[in-house]
Amino acid sequence: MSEAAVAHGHEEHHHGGFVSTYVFSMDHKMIGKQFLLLSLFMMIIGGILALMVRWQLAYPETAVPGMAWVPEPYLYDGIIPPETYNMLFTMHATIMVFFVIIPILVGAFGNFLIPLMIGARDMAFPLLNMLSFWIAAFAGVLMLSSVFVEGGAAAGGWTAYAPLSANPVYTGVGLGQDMWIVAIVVLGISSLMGSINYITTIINLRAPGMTMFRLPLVIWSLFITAILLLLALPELTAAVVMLLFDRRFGTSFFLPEGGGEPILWQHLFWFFGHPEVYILVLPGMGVASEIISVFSRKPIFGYRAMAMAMIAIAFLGWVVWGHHMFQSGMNPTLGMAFMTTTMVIAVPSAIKTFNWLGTLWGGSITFKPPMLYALAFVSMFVIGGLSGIYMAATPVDIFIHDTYFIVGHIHYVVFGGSVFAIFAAISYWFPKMYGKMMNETLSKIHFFGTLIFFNITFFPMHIIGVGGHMRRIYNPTQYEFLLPLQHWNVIMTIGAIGLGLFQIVFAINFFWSMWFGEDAPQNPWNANTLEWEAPTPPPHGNFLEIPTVYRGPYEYSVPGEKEDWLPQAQPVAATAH
Amino acid sequence: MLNRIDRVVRVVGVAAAATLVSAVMAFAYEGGAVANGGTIKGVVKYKGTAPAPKTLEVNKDKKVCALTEKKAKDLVVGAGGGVRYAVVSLTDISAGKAFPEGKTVLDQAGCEYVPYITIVPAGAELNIKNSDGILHNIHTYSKKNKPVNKAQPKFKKTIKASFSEPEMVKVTCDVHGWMRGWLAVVDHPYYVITDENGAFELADVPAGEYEIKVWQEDLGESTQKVTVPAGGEASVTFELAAKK
Amino acid sequence: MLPWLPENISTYGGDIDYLFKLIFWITAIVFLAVQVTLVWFLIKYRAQPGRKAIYTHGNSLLEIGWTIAPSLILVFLAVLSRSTWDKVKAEIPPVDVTVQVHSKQFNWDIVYPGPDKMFGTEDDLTLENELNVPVHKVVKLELFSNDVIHSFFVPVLRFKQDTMPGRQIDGWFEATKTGVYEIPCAELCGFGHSGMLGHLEVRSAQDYASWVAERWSK
Repeated sequence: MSEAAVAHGHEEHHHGGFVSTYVFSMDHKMIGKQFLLLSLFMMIIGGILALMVRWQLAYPETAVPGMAWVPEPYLYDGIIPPETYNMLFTMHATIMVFFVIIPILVGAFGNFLIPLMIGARDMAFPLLNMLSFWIAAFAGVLMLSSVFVEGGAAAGGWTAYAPLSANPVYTGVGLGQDMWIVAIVVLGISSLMGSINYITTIINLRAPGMTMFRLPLVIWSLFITAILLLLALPELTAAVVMLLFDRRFGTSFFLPEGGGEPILWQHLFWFFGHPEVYILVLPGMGVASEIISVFSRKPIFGYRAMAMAMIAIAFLGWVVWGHHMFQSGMNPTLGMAFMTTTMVIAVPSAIKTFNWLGTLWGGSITFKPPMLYALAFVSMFVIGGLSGIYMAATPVDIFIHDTYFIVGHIHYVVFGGSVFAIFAAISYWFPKMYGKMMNETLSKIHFFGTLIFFNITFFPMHIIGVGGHMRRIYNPTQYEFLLPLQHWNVIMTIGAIGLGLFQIVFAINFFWSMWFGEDAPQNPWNANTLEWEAPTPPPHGNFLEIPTVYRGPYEYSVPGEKEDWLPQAQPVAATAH
Repeated sequence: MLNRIDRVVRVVGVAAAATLVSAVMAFAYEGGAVANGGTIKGVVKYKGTAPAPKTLEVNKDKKVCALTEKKAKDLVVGAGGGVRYAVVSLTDISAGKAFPEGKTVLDQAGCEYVPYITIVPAGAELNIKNSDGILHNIHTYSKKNKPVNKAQPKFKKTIKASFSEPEMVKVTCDVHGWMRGWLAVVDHPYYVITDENGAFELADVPAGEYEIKVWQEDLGESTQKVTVPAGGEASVTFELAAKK
Repeated sequence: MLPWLPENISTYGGDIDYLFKLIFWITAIVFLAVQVTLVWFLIKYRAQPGRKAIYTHGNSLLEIGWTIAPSLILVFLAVLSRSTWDKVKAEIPPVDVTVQVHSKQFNWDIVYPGPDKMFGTEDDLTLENELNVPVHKVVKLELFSNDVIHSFFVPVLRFKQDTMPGRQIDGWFEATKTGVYEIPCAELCGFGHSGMLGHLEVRSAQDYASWVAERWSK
């Protein structure tokens, strides 16, 4: 390959204009940034939907502030009716899972980091990569448009249980649910394209000397996640197509009156759904490993164990799906089987937690924003993981299932886990992506505000869940036994509003820094991994010269070395000892 | 005997605004002035001794719904054997008086449908009121019309629905299982509901021979021939027996 | 967490609550241990001039240790849970009273078999949203659904069972205290899911007998 391509400090494209540089780029870095921006936009929408849900829970049947302009039948002078409420939490979850977390962790960071961290010039299939973004964007448009059709958006929960979702007569939602299905199919296509690209790239395009066990753990996590996506999404696609057929083409896969079986939907959905939640958290774990090591100036504790633990989680993730169905009426013996596998899958996550603690032990820790977010990831994920044990014990799940305890668990792992990992990743790699530093003070304000209000919003969910507060109900005050818990709903809503407000700080920091932030040095964190060898920000082709890798990614504080870091690509010294 | 106000309210409380909508829909029926119309008066009787109406169990939202005792209205027979809540109509009239002006309103009050049977012109707008201030839901069942299934919490004071095909539509509430009502979706105004004595009256009928039908939810349907003299009166008696 | 658990009026509720409390204490201790260790390390090993981090790639013994310890605890919990699960979901003890629940959008139709104790006969009685049972007697519920999946949830009994259209699912309980308790629906079933609510009336033997006599007084 010609090394004559001169690297500039800017994203200049020699031959293309605005469109091929910023719109239909085939450069993995630009595509990664496109995913990031699209997803941050979707996150705002998903967040607003959540705030509306929280408003209704705290102050049932009162007008949501600022929403009086929304026309009937969506809102009535700002008041949320029951049909709309069901759409709100359905779309909140759908958007957050499919259009925020996966596209940011896998689409944005997978794209941006993989070639850079393995020492490649771009992905194996750049055109496929570009298509994967635009197809995802199209899926997003479809999903958001479903709100505006007659009957409104999907309202059967993001889990879309049949027969509620299989026959329009049960929810009153027609085209909206069909569009939901099609959007998910389209997104699945985008994801599949991405998976093919990532797996091929990681296997085939590693720089010389970059063995699998010298790969940074974030790349391991993205690799494993891509394999999970490759296997899980087609299964979901099949399931939702069957659902579409039941709805529109007279089949009865899930409709009992035609001989179908509603519980089949649950099996099919959760067979995808459980690997899906590991897809959501594994990249976050990878990010946390990177950052904790860098900011402790220590090798990651137990690198091989960490990689193996992720593989174990991915593998075991396929045999635990029934724990979502303990109360479904499936054979109780299956309950025992799934309880056992579910208890076992907690072990690799525990191993990882101990290894992160081990990484911190004896370290030289600095508290830059990426480290703060990464530490919060570990801390909050532990809470989410521990709360899962209650549900894993099937008799306890009898009480806990479909209560707010589960909603609390979900948000501790997905927000406390994945979203904090997203903030960590953004603040850590922002300098490399945009050539600027994010403002450290604003980041810290955002961090503390988010951490505090996150816990105010989501911890009480465990409390009301234990009180028996059901999920997905529109008005808790309809139940006498929930009235003593209602003040918690108010507290949580106030927490949610605070949480939402602090995200404005992040948005300001992100966009302001992109244009007016301090210029970033090539390697602001003195990190070892290959992406910091490339100029900041990297040009097309990433590296002036493809690096050669001489060691693992976490050689920090090596005894006898002058610096406390030793890049992967630094040649071994002539006078080696 | 029905008094005038009752007749106006009961017989054809239909929306004039709806006639604009219905103008789009080609009615086979032509409404206009009727010269020298006749009147059909009659009564619907029950054959035999009718069972007493059941008392409905109210076990939800008692503060609003259990203020008065509720009895089933599916078969209400008066002291003289007259059947209430039967719908009497002419089946084969193609021209006659126009639909009256006014809004068609169905109310949910005290967790009952008021009126029990509402006459709605096909294509016209039905205003469904929720006077109870609690969550109700309108769930209709019909053969030819699309069903309506909408929640109506207290802040949705009125919701609107319309039905394009003439037929009897059952109205239920999924929240309060005892609630029952009917909509008579009609394509001409010669529909009337019998009163507590089973009596009915159809006025301003152009002179001629017609088929007159009665529908009652438990007893089914029955038809007869009737000749209406110009400016005069015709008399019809229906005797319905319980279905086996 | 524990004070918020509703009162328990079920014979097997105690077993479920015991497991809940056990898991609470185990997770509370682990939680505290991990978070305290985390914060302690952050303080103790914060960057200080002149001190370099300890260069180590891990410790195999520790790895083995902290793999085995959680595994043992979790397997122990699984084994402990088994008997309660079997008792509640897999086995039904000798039944005193059987009642059918037909769930539908948005109410519970409770069908009593009447004095002949057979369903589908003349003396069956359907009451909406009202489940009357005698105290200290084993009640078997035959659960059905007319339309979508609902979930029959009685918090004070620690009873929850999804109902499924096209299928009969059986459950049981024995109430230990009289009173009136709420039966919400715990599975999203449409726009009327919230507010879908029945009431369980646990009656003393005498009270129950008079209720039966009054209901089937023909």
